Amino acid sequence: MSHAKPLFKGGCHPPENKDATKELPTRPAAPPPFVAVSFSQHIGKPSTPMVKPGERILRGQLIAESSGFVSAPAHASVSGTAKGVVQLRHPLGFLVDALKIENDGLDEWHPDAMKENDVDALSPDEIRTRVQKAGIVGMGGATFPTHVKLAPPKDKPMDTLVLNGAECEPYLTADDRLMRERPEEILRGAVLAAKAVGAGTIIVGIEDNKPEAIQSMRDAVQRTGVKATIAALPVMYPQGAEKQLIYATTGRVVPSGGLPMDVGVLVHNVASMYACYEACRYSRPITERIITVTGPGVRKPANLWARIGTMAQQLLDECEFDAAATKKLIVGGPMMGMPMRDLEWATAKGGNGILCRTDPAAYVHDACIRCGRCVDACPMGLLPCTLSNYGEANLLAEAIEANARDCIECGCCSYVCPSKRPIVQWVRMEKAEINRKAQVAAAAAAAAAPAK
Amino acid sequence: MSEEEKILFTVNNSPHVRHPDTTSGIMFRVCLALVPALIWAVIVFGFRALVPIIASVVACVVMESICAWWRGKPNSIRDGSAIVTGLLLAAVSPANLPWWAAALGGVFAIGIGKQAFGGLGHNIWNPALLGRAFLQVSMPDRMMSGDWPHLGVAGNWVRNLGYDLGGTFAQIADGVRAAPDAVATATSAMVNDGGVDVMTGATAMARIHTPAAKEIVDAAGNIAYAAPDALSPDWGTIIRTWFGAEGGSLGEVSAFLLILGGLYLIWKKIVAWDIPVFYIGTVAVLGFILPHPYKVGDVYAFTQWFSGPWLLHVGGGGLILGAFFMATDMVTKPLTTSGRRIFAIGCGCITLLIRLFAGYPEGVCYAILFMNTCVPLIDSLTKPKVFGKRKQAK
Repeated sequence: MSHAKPLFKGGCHPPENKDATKELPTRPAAPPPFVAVSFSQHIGKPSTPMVKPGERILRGQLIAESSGFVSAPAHASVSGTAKGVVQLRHPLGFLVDALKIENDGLDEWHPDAMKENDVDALSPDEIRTRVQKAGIVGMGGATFPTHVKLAPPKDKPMDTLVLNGAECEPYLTADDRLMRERPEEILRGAVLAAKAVGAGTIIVGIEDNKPEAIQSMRDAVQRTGVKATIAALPVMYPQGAEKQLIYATTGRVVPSGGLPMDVGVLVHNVASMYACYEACRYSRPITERIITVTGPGVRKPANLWARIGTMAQQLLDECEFDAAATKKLIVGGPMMGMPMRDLEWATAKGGNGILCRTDPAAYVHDACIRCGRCVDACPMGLLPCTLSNYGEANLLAEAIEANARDCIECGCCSYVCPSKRPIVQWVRMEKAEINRKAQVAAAAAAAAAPAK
Repeated sequence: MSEEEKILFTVNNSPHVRHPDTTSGIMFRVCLALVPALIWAVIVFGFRALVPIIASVVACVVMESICAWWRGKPNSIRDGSAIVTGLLLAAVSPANLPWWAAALGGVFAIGIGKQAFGGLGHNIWNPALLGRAFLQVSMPDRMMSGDWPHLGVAGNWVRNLGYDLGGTFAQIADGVRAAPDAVATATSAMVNDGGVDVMTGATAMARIHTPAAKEIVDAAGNIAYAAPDALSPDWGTIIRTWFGAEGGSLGEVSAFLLILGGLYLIWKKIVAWDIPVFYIGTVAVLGFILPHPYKVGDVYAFTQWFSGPWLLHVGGGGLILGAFFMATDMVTKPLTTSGRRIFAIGCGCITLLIRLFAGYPEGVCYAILFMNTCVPLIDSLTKPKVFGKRKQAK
């Protein structure tokens, strides 16, 4: 096992802007008068609601069960009364169903979420089941159901679990605070996840602009005796992108079109591992998470433990939101976060930050001047400028030929572009169009098959 | 979804932060980097040097506006690229170029060199160099007049410093070759005579372009031929070349100020260091290694290997200007680092080939234009390796 820590090629280094919140300890957000828990907090099918309006609900109670393997259940984050289904804005712009629960302020846990377990006695299958029941998803923002990643096919043995504590997005400090404040839980969760897939090595990748988090995790390794390596990584966006993180921590290169499991690696966000421990040790589903509320649009930035389903307005008001000055509201970080058009939305499992910008940050783009900065910045070794030209001219076949499908959509190309071209957006559109055409072709093939 | 939903905040695509550099900012800095060298040109050539500068910039900007209007596009003079083209075209023109010729060059550079291809970002060749090539073939006499500095106070000071230092250096170097070369002495005499306002004469590059051999007549009356002195210039010539007291184009006369401007651009990360370093390095190395041809009557003879006047090759002619400002033109250079290096080395080789073995004394312009032509080929050969596309070599 080599410990060489190569840096991926390319990347960019936007201003970090983490100073406003990185030294602020997490605190619980004020109890919300009601929560709206979305049934679409994960990638995959929305979960199926299973409570009736008027029913009394306890914290941690299952309110929507998962509707398939790639799906995740949703749980009540407060105790109170179910008020029926409301609609919330999803970060991707469309409206999704959510259960509105009026908070009775008692914070009474459901008995199912109060069972303590001996985590060392859990079998891999039991760990997977508990993770699935707890509704754990990728909490770095991807929201892919965690239990799916813990159930790899038999022909893909995994030897290494990489924890993603890079938090390479500017402004965000949620993972930083979690690693400083709950390092042991993270490590114990990682041990469980590693056990579920049979991985013998645990590596935690943390960017070295978080020395306190690195130290805290190293101390926790000493205290718990967990066999884990804490890897300090150079600050370079997108250090926390899956393929780049695997390369930086293990030196392995995930093949084009492949998954981390193809090189025997599993990657999980540190917050997901914390949730994994809570699920296995106390049978607790995800009912709250750390969210960084920051940016020039709030006067008192904070790292808050927010109940899932807390309305954005409430969290923002708690941080002294300046609604008049805020021109852009972003869920997540500034590089890959999603802009929200209004305040009709609530926190979800994948939301690690709310960034309030006081400038609209809208750009008018010019022609590509072929400066090549995007080529130098692309961590995947693509030619973003060429891809952007193909996107602008709608040349799909050429885009496929130029490896558009390898794009990880990190946005380095758009960040460095002096002509302010929305390069990554064009590539996203190309990828979406490629996928749509593939689906149409597959449907056509399926329709043609019975005729033969 | 109801239509009365209010959009309270801006919704657009990520990333929501961008690097502060803009296209117009880059162009402005390129102009800024050129200013010291052009001011120096006005000092050494006199105010007449402003004529081609102003004519060329105005022509470029006006042509850019006309083309944008003609093509029904938003006016693109705000991006500043037309000003850069105008300044660069002036920098490669002689100071005594008439205003109408400079303007014609500007019109060609923008109209044919840039807008005909679709405007900024779409041109194949560097517009300023294309403009120069156009003038060069249209009016070679005017372009190759070898305009000499007006030599005001500053110019004379540099010139004298050149002789002083040249003498000192030469004494230290070998203690033998203390006298300045014949041509320089003659010119110096002209200057010291005074009354000569505008002179023309062979530039440093023209003097090392296949000069006539030196005749050595021994006591018995036998004539032997040796390599001319011009091919082994003394320190004085070199210093005068570098500091602009020799003839040449407007922007070429002060290598040191161009290097200063170029370093500023590298510092501001507007140009990558590899193109200037590899280009100039190639010229320096080949200029030192390659045998230089000279004429013995009608036949050619060659100097020894490893004895070329490489410092003159670097500081003389348009190399510094070309390497820092022309070959680095973003639009017409390759996209990848390895491609840029191949491009720069290619520019260096062709520059030297033209200087030594072709009809022109100066090869920077055509070398860069030729390599511009090769950019699509270089780009297709130097595509970066897609991360994870092939198995890692072990």
